[in-house]
Formats: sequence, C-alpha cells, structure tokens
Amino acid sequence: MSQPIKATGTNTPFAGLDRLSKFLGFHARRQQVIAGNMANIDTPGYRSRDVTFKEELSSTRDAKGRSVVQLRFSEELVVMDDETPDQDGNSVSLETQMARTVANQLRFSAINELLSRKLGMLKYAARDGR
Amino acid sequence: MSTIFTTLEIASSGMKAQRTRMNVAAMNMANKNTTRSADGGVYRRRDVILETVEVDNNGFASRLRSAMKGAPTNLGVKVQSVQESNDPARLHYDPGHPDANPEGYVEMPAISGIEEMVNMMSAARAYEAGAKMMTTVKTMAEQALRIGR
Repeated sequence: MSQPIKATGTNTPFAGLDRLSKFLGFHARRQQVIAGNMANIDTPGYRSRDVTFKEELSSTRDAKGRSVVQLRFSEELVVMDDETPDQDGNSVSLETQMARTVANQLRFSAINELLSRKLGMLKYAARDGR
Repeated sequence: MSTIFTTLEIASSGMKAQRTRMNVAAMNMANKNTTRSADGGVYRRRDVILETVEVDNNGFASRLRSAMKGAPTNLGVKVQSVQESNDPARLHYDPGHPDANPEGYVEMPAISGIEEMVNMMSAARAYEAGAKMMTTVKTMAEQALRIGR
C-alpha cells in the first residue's frame, strides 16, 4: 500500500510535519508486529515478522505538463529469515524481540521529540515570539 | 556504520547465546546418570561452541566495508554448534544394573555437577550483563533526546 505524501513546499513552516507523522505511525505499527511475535513465542512453525518501509521519489507531470516530484511512502510486512528456527520451527527469540522493541521505542521518541520541537518553534512564531 | 541500535543487536545476540549455554548446562545436569541415549550408548556431555557473527550483515555499510577490505567492527556472537565432548565415560561398579558389563561395571557420563553449576552461573551473569548493557544504551539515547531541554 503505497500512498503519496502531500507535497508541502520545503520552505513552508509545515514542511516535513506530514512526513514525521507518517514515521510515527509506522513505528506504532511496528510495535504491534513485535507484540504479535511475542504472543507467538510458543507457536510451532511461527516465523518472526517485521515491517519495513520504503520511500520512493517519483516524477510525474501535472495537467499543465510541468514536472512534479512526489514522495511515496509504503510499508511491507516481511517474514524474517535471519534467525535459525528451533526444533518446532519457531524462530522468535525473546532477546531479539526485546532489542527491537527498545530500538523501535527510541526511534518513536526521537521522531516525537523532533515533532514537538518543530511545533514549539511554530508556536513561538505564532505568538510573536512571546 | 554503527548506531546505537547496533549495540542493542550485539547485546541481544550475546544474551541469546548465553541462554543456549544455560540450556546445555541444564541438559548435562539432567543427564548426569543417563546410561541410554538416543544413539545407543551412554550420554555424552555437551559443549556449546560460540562464534563471532557480523550483525546487520545484509546492510549497505557492511558490504561497502567488505568491498574496501576493511575489518568488520560490529561483531555479535552466535551458537555455531552444540558438540559432544570426547571425555571417556566414568566406570561405576554396580553389578545389579541392567546396563552393567560382564565385569559388573556401568558406563556413566563423565559430568561434574560442580563444573555445570559454574557454567550455569557464568551464563547467568553474562546474560545479566547483556540486559544491563541494553538498559544503559537506552538511557544514553534518551539522554541524547533530552539535549537542550
């Protein structure tokens, strides 16, 4: 499911906000997938899953024949093959999932921090610097 | 390129390996007196063989580095194999035992309970160290996010 990100100009105050919130959503969904892996830690034959994202720049022409660059964001659910499954075919390891949870959480907070600082700047400007 | 997330991955690979060591120590302990194993003879003590493994080895950075003949820097650990030891079986005199040989001796696994306990504790401490490492890295990243607050 690839969806275009609304093209806001790079010089508007709202540039990048849309993109940051997309990533926030992506990390929230990744957390769900990790939770799903943890829930299936004893399910025979279950392979651990993860979500990956892809950003693509595509160039199209608008009605007036001008070239428009669009950024598309897409997510994909992948079955991981980086871990050797144990005897019952299950490849979920508690340690790996925990490490991914922590990494995901940190990325989420980093984006959250960026968003709130950016909004803070806008707020400052909107209040005439008061 | 190594990021704060690489550290997490390395630590988790170590914890996974230590868990396997724990499993094997428990297996040896449980089979201290096993005279009949799956392959017929007496149970043989198992040892965990660990090897280094590059974490994130499908990443661009690692391919670039290997193309430029650089030494790998992000090394985690993985269990290469669980091998049977070559220690000779201990002979125990017990003529009444169904597995005794004509001279009355039974082959018993050469497993020392003390050695297995030591292995178990060393695995538990190393596991703990890995967990602590993850917590510390997380705290570090949180501190970085608070810069300028």
